Amino acid sequence: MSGTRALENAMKVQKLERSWQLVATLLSLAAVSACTGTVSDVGGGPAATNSAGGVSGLAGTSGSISNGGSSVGGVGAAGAIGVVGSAAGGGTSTTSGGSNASSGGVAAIPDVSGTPVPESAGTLVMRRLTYREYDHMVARLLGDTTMPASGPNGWSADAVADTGFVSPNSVASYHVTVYNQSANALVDTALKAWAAGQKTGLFVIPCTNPTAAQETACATSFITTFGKQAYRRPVAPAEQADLLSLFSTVRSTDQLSFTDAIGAIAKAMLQSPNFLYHWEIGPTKPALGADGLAPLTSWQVASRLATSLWESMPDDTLLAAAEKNELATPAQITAQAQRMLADPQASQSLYSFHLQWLFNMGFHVTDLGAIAAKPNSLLTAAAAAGLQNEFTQFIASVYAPPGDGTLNTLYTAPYAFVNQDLAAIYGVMGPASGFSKVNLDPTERAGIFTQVAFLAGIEDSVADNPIYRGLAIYTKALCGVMAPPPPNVPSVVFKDMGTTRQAYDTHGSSACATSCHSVFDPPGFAFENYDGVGKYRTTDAGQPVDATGTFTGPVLAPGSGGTVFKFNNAIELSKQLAASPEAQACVDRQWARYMLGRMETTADQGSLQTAFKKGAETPGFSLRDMLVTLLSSKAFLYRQPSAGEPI
Amino acid sequence: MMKRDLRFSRRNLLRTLGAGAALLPLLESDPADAQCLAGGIKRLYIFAWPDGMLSSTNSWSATGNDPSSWKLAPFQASLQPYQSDLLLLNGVDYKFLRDGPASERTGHACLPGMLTGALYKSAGSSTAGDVAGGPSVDQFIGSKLKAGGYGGLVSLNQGAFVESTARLSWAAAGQAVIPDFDPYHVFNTYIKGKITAPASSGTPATPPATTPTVDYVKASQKSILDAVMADLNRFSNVVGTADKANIDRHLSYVRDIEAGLATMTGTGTGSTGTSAATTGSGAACGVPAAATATPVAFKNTDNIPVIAKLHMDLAIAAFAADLTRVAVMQIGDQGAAHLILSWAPLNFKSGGPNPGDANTGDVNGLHAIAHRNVADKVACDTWFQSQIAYVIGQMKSIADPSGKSMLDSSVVVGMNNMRTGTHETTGVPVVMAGSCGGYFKTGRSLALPAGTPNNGLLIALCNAMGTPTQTFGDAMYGGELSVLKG
Repeated sequence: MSGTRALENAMKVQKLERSWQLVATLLSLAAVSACTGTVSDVGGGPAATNSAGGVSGLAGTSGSISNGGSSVGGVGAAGAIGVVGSAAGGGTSTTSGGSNASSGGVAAIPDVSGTPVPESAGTLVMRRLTYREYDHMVARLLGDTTMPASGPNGWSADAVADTGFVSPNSVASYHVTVYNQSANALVDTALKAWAAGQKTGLFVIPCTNPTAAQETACATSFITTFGKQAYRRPVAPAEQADLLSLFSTVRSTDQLSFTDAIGAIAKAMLQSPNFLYHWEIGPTKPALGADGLAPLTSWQVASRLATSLWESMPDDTLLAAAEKNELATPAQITAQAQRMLADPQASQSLYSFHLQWLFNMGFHVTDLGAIAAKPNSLLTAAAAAGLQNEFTQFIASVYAPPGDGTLNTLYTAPYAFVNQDLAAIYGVMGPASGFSKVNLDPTERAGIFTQVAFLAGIEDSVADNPIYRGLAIYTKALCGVMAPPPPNVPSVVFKDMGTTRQAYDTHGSSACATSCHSVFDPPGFAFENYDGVGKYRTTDAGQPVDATGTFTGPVLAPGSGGTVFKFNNAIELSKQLAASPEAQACVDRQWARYMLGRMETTADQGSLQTAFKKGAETPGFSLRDMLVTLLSSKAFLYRQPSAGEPI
Repeated sequence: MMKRDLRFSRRNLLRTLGAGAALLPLLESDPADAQCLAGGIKRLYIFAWPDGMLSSTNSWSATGNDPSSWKLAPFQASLQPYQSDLLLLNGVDYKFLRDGPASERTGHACLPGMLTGALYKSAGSSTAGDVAGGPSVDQFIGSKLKAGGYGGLVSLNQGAFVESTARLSWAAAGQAVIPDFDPYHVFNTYIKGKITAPASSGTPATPPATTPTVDYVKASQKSILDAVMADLNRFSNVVGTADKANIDRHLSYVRDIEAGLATMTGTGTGSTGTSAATTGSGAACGVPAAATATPVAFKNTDNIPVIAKLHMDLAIAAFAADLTRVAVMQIGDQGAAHLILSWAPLNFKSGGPNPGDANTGDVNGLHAIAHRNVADKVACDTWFQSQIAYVIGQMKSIADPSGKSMLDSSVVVGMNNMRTGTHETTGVPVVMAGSCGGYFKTGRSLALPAGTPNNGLLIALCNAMGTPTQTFGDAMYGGELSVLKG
């Protein structure tokens, strides 16, 4: 074997090994017996039979997909539905602590074909701000846009939760240390700027050289004004009294200047749980309705909207609406949500949601913004640096007007946003500088899965790896769940060269051949027309590309799903995905996970159904309507009290 | 392009330490050239990395009970100068993994338990999500020392290229300790202002004669933290039980920061203070120059040798000033699939574009190399051993007034989450160095009986450090590995 050939084979072996590790780390959700034919949907139907039936599967070698458990069971009852993860196998994979152990099992889906279920609500997760939320908030509050938490020199990362999204519950000593230091540094910088006559963010010291008699009133004014922003709700009287007491102590005992004493208040606020955690309820106890649910306060609704759609905090308009209790009706919330989606800040959440949804695999987190720094990238520096921009601009163009907001556009639109180097990959003329929208050949490109950001970024390097791509389609776009690979998967001996597909298509005799690879290989091979950087190709290793395939989609609910996808290439697959109820129901569910910060439960099912139906009213499935409906649904406006919460 | 020189001369090995020629004099100098330590303080340094200490083509060092009776394996040649300080174990069994819930049964999944010896509290949906069932040995020892009146940190937990969120150290079951990857942050947070700057002479610096002043900035910091704690108390009363526990932990961490302020007796932020923790001076115990030099990008893989060295230097400086007695350093996460050892003499790089195919991938990432498990892996193994050697050498070069080196009163432990790159959770080798004040009998290379749980080692570390325990992790794994005492 020549040296070159040995190298190529070594690389293919390596890719396969990585894929195996990925598959292994991805899963182990349900302890279905290894890979013997058990590919399941997430959740199955509302039925208690999951460990046996819900995830069960089919016969070992058939390679088809299990029906997710026959429906029985009362929805709405705080019962276990679906299974994912929790049921079988002793591996309860709840997220760490926190309040997201909601009633009911992990679960259901919008059972889009089943009987509508009354809307209800699960628990509210008390979670820490994500690092990106923190960064966006301090940018607004203090004008610091350096992204101290999530930037290139940012903090040790928080884990991806079982939702597939970063959603931190617990706190470590490290966090408290960096919160302390960051609060001091941010406020000291703002104080310096203030002394130099510059206002940074919302940091405004309300009086200039006040007399001793005026100082308390000035401090009070700062507390109420800055505090309402930082806490996303009015500062409560007891809190205000403590902060005034702090002001008085640092001013007199600690002998700080007036402005430094105001700064001390800001430093305390930035370390307060009222800033650092999503709860926003304040010291008042919730009042439960007859159904046992507590309505979110208007401030909580404002925060939920800002977090969900902007990855940040409410703006003045939202706060004013909360103040006037104008976030109570679906119409009011819809109006705000529509406004927010049209705001540039929406790109922050849209990026974060889609990136994590489509790219996070197991523990592996892709940062499109960091790919340029990877030593291995085959992309030019400008192309790599442009991935985040391409991805974000495309998604924003879909969700925000004048985009039609449909899943169909997201998955099939033949255009992209490119700089010159990305244009070269697409084979089109790009802008001389900056980014611009370009139309692409619709026979070569359709939607987000055929764009360079996905194709090159999915492995955050630049190898075309059909397994990663296939897993993204099956487990992310279709919410399918794979059983873990069997132990001791033997090393695959690659054939001597060939196309990528040939190299990977060697599972014929392996234990996972039919039940695992038959599921995620075909959607991966659909992308064989794109090389590692996403350049279109019709030949691979001198042979014609074969991007044809067929696979059975996951069963999302009894009687729903199990669709057979059959395609000649990724264009056809993307179009089929856009039209499939599974993919539509899946995106509904993924958005809910992202915004609720936990897995969906039976209690959320009615709202998920409502949102799905709203989305489906529009041809191509309106993501925008679905999203707005979710945000104004009962699951998002009410909550069950947490266990042990004083009522 | 795949060709690289895998021959390791001693000089090359030293270069791999990332220190290059600068290190040579230190390693070859008289150990007792700097006297800055208080005598008799025991310290624990743990160095961990993934994907196996061995490959299929290198063997562990020979067994022997006396330095003259055994030889180090070639890949451990960097440890040669310290053979009489070594205690090599071959090897321990990560039984906790196979007996309890875990995301998978490979060595990758051992990372969260190798320092706890406890069955996992729960299995994650990936190796990043496995939740340890008890405290790790660093946290156990550090907490006990603090409970006994020691005023420094519980431990200093550092890392380089820890991409995943699988955690090595745990404050308690389910409570991960997050390592600090940023050495400059480590310096600014835990060391700056608490250690005497390098002095030109070997004598301790005399504190400047100043009239005692009140540090109002610091006093205001305390006032601020008081307000924060009041807020946390209020907050914890309106949330559910699980959230309350979390907020109460948050509160305790704020209290720690406040306690740290109280023990700082310097005259202002960043000044060279008169902290009681400062016990001496001299280059080896002072602030590592790199800590205050122009920072390098600490997340850039190419900078790992520089960053790892700085992390280690900072830990040793913190040891010398008695700011911590326990330190943990981790390079790579449970799989390190994207960790490319790109520095000399390893020089792993992508193979570059493959003619006719854009396939490359991290064919030279540590994980893939570990799976190939042959010569390239030996080169990586060799580099990691050299990192342990660096720590040992540095600790040996610093002496207390009695002439004993820091290493003599300390123990260094190098651990991995598997045996070789192919996932074995049994017979996992361990490198130990330093007798921890005479507790361990060094100069030996031991073959442990098959099935020796790692718990016995962890218990021995607790006992050696003066924080005795009968069991560690799950009690069913028995007591101390007493053979270490000799």
